[in-house]
Amino acid sequence: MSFEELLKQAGLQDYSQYFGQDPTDIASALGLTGKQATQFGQFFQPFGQEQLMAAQEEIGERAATRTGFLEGNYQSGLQGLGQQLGQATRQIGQAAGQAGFSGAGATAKQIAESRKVAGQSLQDIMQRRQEGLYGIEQQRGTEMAGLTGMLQNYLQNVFRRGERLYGLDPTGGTSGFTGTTGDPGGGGDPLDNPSMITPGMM
Amino acid sequence: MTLAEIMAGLGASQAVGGARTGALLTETVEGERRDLRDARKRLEEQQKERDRKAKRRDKRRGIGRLLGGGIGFLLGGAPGAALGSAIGQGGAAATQRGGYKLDNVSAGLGQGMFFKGGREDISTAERDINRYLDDANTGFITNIATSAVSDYLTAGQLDKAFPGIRGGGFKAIGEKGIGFDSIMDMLRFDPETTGLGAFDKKSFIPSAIYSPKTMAGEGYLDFIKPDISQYNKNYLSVKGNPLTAISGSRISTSSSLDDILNMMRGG
Repeated sequence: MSFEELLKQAGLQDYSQYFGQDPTDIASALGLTGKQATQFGQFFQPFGQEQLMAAQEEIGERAATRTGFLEGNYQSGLQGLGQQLGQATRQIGQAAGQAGFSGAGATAKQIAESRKVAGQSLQDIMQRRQEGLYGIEQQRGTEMAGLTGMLQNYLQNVFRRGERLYGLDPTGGTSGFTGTTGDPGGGGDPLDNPSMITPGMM
Repeated sequence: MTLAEIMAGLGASQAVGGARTGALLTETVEGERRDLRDARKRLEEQQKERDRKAKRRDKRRGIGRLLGGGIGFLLGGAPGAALGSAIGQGGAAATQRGGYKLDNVSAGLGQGMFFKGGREDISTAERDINRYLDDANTGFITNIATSAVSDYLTAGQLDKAFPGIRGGGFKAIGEKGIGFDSIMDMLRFDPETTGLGAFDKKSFIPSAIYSPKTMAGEGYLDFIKPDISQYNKNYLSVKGNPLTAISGSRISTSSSLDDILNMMRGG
């Protein structure tokens, strides 16, 4: 899965421009242009795409591992059930041989009972497998949500930084910032008393 | 590497990176804020210094004007007063430490990334102050010229009102050379020729007590009485026929009307 696909999965595909690896690109995405974008880029920390991809890969591997464990247990369960069923069938057969024709009815009953028990065991094994797969998927989702949370956190920080920058009345260029609303950011009035002196020289 | 380790690494790098760039931003912002405050303070200090210099300059100009105008008047009357006033003021300006001109102020504010409005305010204030300074410098020169002209007119009026007030002038210097005595002679007015002798007739009484009529009656205003003797002589010596008042003409008391008409026709 590529990073773009990951963003799309997280529903953040419209914000892919903020995940550039060059800080200038992030500043440009916020509406800063030219030299201004280059200067203001220093105030942005690019997102660690590689680490995120590694995490995503790790999550996949973990899910695969868990699934492998589950499948192994499932196979073992099936195998065990088959062996138990075979053993029971053999024992019933031996008992029927010893009893002769007179015990045919009881033998048939025992075989039916064994099949019933085996069917229930198989159903239990299948149920546990389904539950296991569900649990693995849930775990994978939780871990992926952690990644999405990181993406969201990063985006919020970028926008908050952008708001602060614009609140500080940046010089040069024109604003095209259409970031998040809410916190107007820091900065404010650059000077305690911006009104300048009135010269009375003459 | 486990997922927890990767996630922790990712979170840490983002958090630390964000904190680092945030600190850098704060550092930059505070530095620029400090620069703006310094620039504003620098501008205010320079403006105050120019203000002080302007006052010193005007004071020196006043002294130069007084001395130059006074000496010039004594030496050369009204033109001398004007020239002396101009020279006195110019000399005072020229000898002022650091020159007479009020130098432009500079906030010394470099380029920055933030506070565009604040920077514009300071630039505007800087331009305004410099414009005022230019006007003040131009006004100073104009003031020298106008005050020299004003001194010329004042000295002329003074000379007319008090003829002889300049005393010996160059004459005294010519006779005695440049020295204390000749200067005192220059400054000594002649009561007879100036008319100020009228004040010697009586002890000084505040004019507010006296009406103009009383003052005139008691001789205080003798010195401003016009000399109408020549007028009387020219215009009022022959009574009866006003035509005789035309001095120097060919018209006389015996001229007929025809003669007058002929003369008017150019005959």
